[in-house]
Amino acid sequence: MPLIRRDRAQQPPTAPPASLDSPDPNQRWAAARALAGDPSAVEQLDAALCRETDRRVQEVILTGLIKIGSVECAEALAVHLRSTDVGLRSGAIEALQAMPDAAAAVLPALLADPDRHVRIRSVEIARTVAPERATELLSPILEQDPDENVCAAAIDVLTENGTPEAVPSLRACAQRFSGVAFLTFAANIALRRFAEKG
Amino acid sequence: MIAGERSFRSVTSSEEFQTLCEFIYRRTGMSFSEGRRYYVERRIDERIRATGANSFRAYFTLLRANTDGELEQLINSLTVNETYFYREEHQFRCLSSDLLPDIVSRKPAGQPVRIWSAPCSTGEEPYSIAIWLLENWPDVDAYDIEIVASDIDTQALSRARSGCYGARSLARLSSEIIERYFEPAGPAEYRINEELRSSIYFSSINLMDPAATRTQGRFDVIFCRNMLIYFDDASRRVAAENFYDCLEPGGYICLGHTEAMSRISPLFQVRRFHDAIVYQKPEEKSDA
Amino acid sequence: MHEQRATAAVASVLVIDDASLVRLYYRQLLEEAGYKVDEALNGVEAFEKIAVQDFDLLIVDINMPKMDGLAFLTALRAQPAPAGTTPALMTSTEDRDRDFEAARNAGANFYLVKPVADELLLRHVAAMTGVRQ
Repeated sequence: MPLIRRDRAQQPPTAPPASLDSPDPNQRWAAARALAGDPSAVEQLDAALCRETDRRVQEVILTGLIKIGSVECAEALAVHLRSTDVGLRSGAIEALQAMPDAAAAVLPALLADPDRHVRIRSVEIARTVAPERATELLSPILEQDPDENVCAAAIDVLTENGTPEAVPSLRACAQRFSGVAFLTFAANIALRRFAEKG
Repeated sequence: MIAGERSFRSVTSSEEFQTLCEFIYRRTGMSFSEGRRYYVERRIDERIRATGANSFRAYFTLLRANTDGELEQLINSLTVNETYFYREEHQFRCLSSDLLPDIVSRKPAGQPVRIWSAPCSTGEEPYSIAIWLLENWPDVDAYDIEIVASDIDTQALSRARSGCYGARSLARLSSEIIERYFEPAGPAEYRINEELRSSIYFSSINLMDPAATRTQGRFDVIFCRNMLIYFDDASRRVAAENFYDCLEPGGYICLGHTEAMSRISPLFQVRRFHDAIVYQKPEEKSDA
Repeated sequence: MHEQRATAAVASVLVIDDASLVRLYYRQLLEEAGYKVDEALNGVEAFEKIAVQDFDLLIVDINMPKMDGLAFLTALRAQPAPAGTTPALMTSTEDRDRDFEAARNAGANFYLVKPVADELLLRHVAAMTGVRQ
C-alpha cells in the first residue's frame, strides 16, 4: 500500500539565525517571522520594512508589527501613509486596521494632516475602530473637510462602521457637495442604511 | 418556500442583507451568492430570535460588538459543521486529476508526496483523502504518499485515531468502499481498518504557532477547510504565513468552498482547475 | 480571437475597488448602460473572479488592501491572453504624474482621477470595450 507514515515529528534542520539584511528574500522572510511579536523589535522591523522590495517579505514584516500592536508600531506605520510605495502604504493602512486600539492614538493627527492624500488613507483606518469612535472621528470630516475624496471615503467607512449619530453630518456633507454625483449618491445610501427601521 | 413549512417572512431588506453579507465577508472571508439568500436569511432569523434582538438593526449592532460571542455563533450556524466522508468531494477530484499530476511531474525521484489535513478534526478528512487516492488516482501505486493529520483538539484526534464512525458520516461512500476500508464495529458503527488507520500520522498541533507547524515539515498539498473563517484578521495572516512556510514551492492549499484567500492573504496565487479553485505557493521565490 | 463587437451590448466589466459604495455606484451606472458587471474588493479577489470568467474590461482602483491595483495589474499582465491582455482602466484619488506613470508601467490602458464624472467613465468604457487587441 502506497501510504507511508513517519512517526517522529520532523525536526527542522538547525540553520544559522536568519538576517533581515540578507540578499536572499527567504532569509529575510525567516528573520521577520522570528521577530514577530517581539516588542523590542519595532525599530528593526520598521527599518527592514522601509527597504523591503519583496512583497511577500513585506507582508510578514507587517504581520510581525501587527502582532506587537503597540502605539510605537502604530506611530511607525503612520509615517508610511506618506510613502510613494503603493504596496507599503496600503500594507501600513491594513496593519493599522488590524490594531485598532493602537491606531486610535495616531488617528486624530492623521485625520488633520494638511495633505489630503494622507487624510484619504487615514479615513480607511477608522473602518475597524468601534463604530461610536468612527462616528466621533469622522463626523467633523464630513462637516468640514474641503476635499471630496476625503469625504467620500468617510461616507464609505461610516456606512459600514458608523452609528446613527452620524446622520446630521452626512446630511451636511451631501449639502456641501451637492454638485458631486458620487458624493450625494454615497450620502443617500448611508442615510438610508441608518434610517432603516430599528 | 417549502410547502408545509410555517410561513417565513424575510426579516431583512435587500440592503440589510447586503450590509450583513459584506460584514460577514470582511470579518470572516465567507461569501454567499444571491442564490443562497434564503439559506442565510433563515439562519439570521434564528439568530435574531436566539439573541432576543427585536430587529435586524439591533441584531447587527450586537453582532458587530460580538456580544456573547455572537460572531462565532453566526459562523457556526452558517457553516455546515457536520463533518463526513467525502465532504467537498470536488476538491479531492481536483487533487487526483490536477494537483498531484502537476506535483509529481516536478518531484525528484524517491521523494514522497506529502499531504496535510489541518485541522483534521475527528479524522473524516484525512481518511477521505487516503481512500479517494487509493480509489481514484491512477498513479497511486507509483509513489509513496504520506498523509499527516493535525488538530489542536486532542479529543478529536483521539477519536480520529480510533477511526470509528456512524452511518451518517459514511452516507456518501459506496457500499464497495465501505466494505473495502471499514469493518463493522457495532450497531450502525464502522471502523476504519487497521492498515489504513495506521498509515495516517496524527499530530496535536496548534496551527497558529509557527514553531509547532515547522515541525511537520513541508507539504505538497494542504487542506485547511472551514477553520480560517473563525479567526480575526491578524490571526488569519499568521496562519496563512505558517501554511506558506509549510508548503513546498509550487505546493497547493485548499480552503472550504465558501472561503477565499482574498480576505486572508496575498501570498498565494489563484489557480483554477476543472473541479476547484485552489491556491498555490509560487514555484520560485519572486520579487513581485 | 475576438472580433469587433457592438459597444455596450453584452460587454462584461469587472470593478475592482475596496470601497463598496464606489463599486455600487459604478455597477448601477454601467448596468443601466447595458453592461454586465461583477465586483472584486482587492487584487486577490479580482484574480479569483478572472479565474472563472473572462472580462472585456477591468476598472481598477489603486489603493486596496491585500493586493493593490498596481501589483494586481503587473501580475495580470504577466499572464497569457485573454486574461493578461484584458483592457484596464485605472481609477484613483491619486493624481500626481508619478501615479500616472506607475499605472502605465503596470499596464493600465487609461487612468481617470476620482471622483470620475459619469459621462467620462461611460465614454471610456464604451471605447475600451469596443475592440479587443
